[in-house]
Amino acid sequence: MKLIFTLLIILFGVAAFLHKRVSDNAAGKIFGNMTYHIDDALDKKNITLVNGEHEEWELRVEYDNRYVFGDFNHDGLKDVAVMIIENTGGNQDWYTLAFLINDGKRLAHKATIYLDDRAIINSMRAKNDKVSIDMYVHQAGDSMGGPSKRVKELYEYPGPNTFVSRKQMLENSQTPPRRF
Amino acid sequence: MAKRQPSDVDTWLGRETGHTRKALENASSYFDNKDVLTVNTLEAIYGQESSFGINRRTRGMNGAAGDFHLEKKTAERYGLVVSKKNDQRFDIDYASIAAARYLKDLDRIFGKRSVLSEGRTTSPVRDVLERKKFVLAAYNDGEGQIARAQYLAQEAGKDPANWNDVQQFLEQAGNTSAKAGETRQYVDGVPKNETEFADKSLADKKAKDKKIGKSKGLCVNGHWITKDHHHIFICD
Repeated sequence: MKLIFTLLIILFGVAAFLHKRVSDNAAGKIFGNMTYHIDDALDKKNITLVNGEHEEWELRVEYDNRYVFGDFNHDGLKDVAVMIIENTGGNQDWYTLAFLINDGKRLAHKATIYLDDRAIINSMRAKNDKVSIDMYVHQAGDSMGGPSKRVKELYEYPGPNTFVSRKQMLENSQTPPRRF
Repeated sequence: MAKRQPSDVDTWLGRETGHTRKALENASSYFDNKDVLTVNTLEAIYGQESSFGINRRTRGMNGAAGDFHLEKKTAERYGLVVSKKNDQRFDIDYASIAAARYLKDLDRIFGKRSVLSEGRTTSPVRDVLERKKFVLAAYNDGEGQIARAQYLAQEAGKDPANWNDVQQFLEQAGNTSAKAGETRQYVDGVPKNETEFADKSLADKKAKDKKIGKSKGLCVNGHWITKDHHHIFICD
């Protein structure tokens, strides 16, 4: 009996793992080939990722294989938030939260929140139509590759054509984010 | 009496091995008497980027990684192999040479009027001390963004060869305020640590005067073997 129970748990685990893998691959094909608006490049522009990447002189954009679904603009339609890495020259790799809003026909990139340069993302989840991110960000004294301040913050869709940094977002927020 | 807290530089120097120091000294021979870059500049950047090899991120990634947090494209431009199996950005001998050559190239780019890709042009910064600020800014933010900020400063009637003037235009050049803030901190912070390294480090400051020897021309093409459980790279 105990053996059957253990086997069932393993089976469920494997099924869940395979399901996630298939979902991630399908998501990668969609979000890794979408058009994104890059606001902080030398010239603001739209770029389309191909197989998760776009590269040109002093601009590299990558899909980071993380996404969550939610009705972020509260219109009854399912939207998506994805993690995108932006480099606009030098060695700054900015982790950004891109909101892809569903207008009933298609998803379009409408807003970005710049999280941190070389942030370490632990997890990204949808919570009450907001995005919860558990991550390490920089604090005074950290090396560029070693952000050490662990934070768990909730991000609301900031509205169309909004491209803001995490700090600005937190300053404007009514509810202070929970911190570790 | 309260015990003095060790500074970042003290911590980083505690991680500096003889091999690391030698690698940085060798790499500093890519600098010359036309710049004010030294082995201590490399130490300060090594500390600032990866905390002396502690925070190097993931092998093979496109973004900044390795001891000096070079982007994959930048590392490859200086002949380094970058793959998941073999990423020379994680080898201090290769990484420090690539970083030194990149810094020297940035010093040359900002030492004269240089046309970058996409038609962007740098304004010459004749003062070597001032130029180092532009070099550090470009290492962090990219030479294109800094050249654009120089252009905007000049258009506004400011001095494009003065960092204090140019840094005011980082946002207008296309950076978010967070990015621009990081670059300003980088340009302020690295030289402070460099001064502390100059005071405390055992590294030979005159190493840059030594000629680049053949032994420093590390090979790029080769293959890996395993001997006594150690991976060894053999030059072809």
